[in-house]
Amino acid sequence: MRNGEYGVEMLRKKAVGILACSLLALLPLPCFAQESSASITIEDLRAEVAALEQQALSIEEENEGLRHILKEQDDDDIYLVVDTENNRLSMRKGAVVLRTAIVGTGSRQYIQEETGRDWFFESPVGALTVLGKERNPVWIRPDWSYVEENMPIPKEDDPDRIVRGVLGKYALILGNGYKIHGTKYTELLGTHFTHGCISVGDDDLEFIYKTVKIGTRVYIY
Amino acid sequence: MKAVIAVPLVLCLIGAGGYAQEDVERRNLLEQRERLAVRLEELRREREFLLFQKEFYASDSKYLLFDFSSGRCQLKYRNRILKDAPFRVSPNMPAKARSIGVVILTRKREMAGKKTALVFGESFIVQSERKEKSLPAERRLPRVLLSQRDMKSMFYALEEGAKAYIVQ
Repeated sequence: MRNGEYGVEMLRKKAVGILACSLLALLPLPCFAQESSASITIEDLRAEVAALEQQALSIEEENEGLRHILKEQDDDDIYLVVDTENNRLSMRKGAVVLRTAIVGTGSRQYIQEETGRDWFFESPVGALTVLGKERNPVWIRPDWSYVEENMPIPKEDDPDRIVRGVLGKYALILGNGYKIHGTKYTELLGTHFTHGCISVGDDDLEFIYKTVKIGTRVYIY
Repeated sequence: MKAVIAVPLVLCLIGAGGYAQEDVERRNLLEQRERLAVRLEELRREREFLLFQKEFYASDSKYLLFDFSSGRCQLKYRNRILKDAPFRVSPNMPAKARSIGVVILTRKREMAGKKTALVFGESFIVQSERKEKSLPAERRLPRVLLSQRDMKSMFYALEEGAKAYIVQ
């Protein structure tokens, strides 16, 4: 190769190199390209992320508000739960069970008087409240008690209706004649044997009586 | 001649550097977008559960909470726990049935011999642990198995249409 030809060839190679370099600088390198995001501009991506951040913040605030509402509605009070299927009572404070007791609940028996009056002995279900507390409660025999024993029904104020000692030492009044009380028939605890009241053994009853207050919620199901 | 080569080379490097910087930002943004999508999903689930609880403060219906991760369920009323019970699941319980959210008690089934079942649509069926024959239509359904005593409580406490929430 002659000197002149060599110089031209060198110049041509350099020019090609420079051109290639310049093109490289102007074009995005393939290794940097992201297939999935190639169609999104960086500005759009920034906006999308900002929008998602805003959305997350908004839901976080909403959840915080909801948590606050739920906390306000929550109380830390003790409550009683009666499971009438299994004849169990539990005293709870949230997730903590403070006491469980084997109890007696309504017999689910039906009686009818000659006149047509009838009674179904079932424990009341739902959310009830302890309306009052009694020591040494007295039982005022209702009409069904006489009907059940085929006895004549005395007058409402007949002293024969007053019976002492059958309800144990304590009673919690639930309203409509229903109570949580003691029983003489402790061997029947764990069965459906009452006329609707919740019968509890002496020790459990004492603990429950001394722990709950008037206003304590009682959930019977 | 050196200058002729150096200028485009510098241009080349600056250009590449610019793209590299943008790419790093792009990658960070994409990762952030992914993280935020996951976080949003979690927050939405949390919101759904909070709204579910709020709804039941005012409701007169009892409901169940299932926690598949701990294997415990709770019978609740106005957000108070009435009963807390352990459960097992049958081997055919798919992960799909455990997806977090609300399920509805579509049917309470009671057969001779006090054989009871709570059917939650196509999701699963709640039964007692004792061996019981299933109805043909229910055979393929995954099962949540409770002790006989717990099943008795849950069965009579709930009504058709009652809601249950799968926590995890």
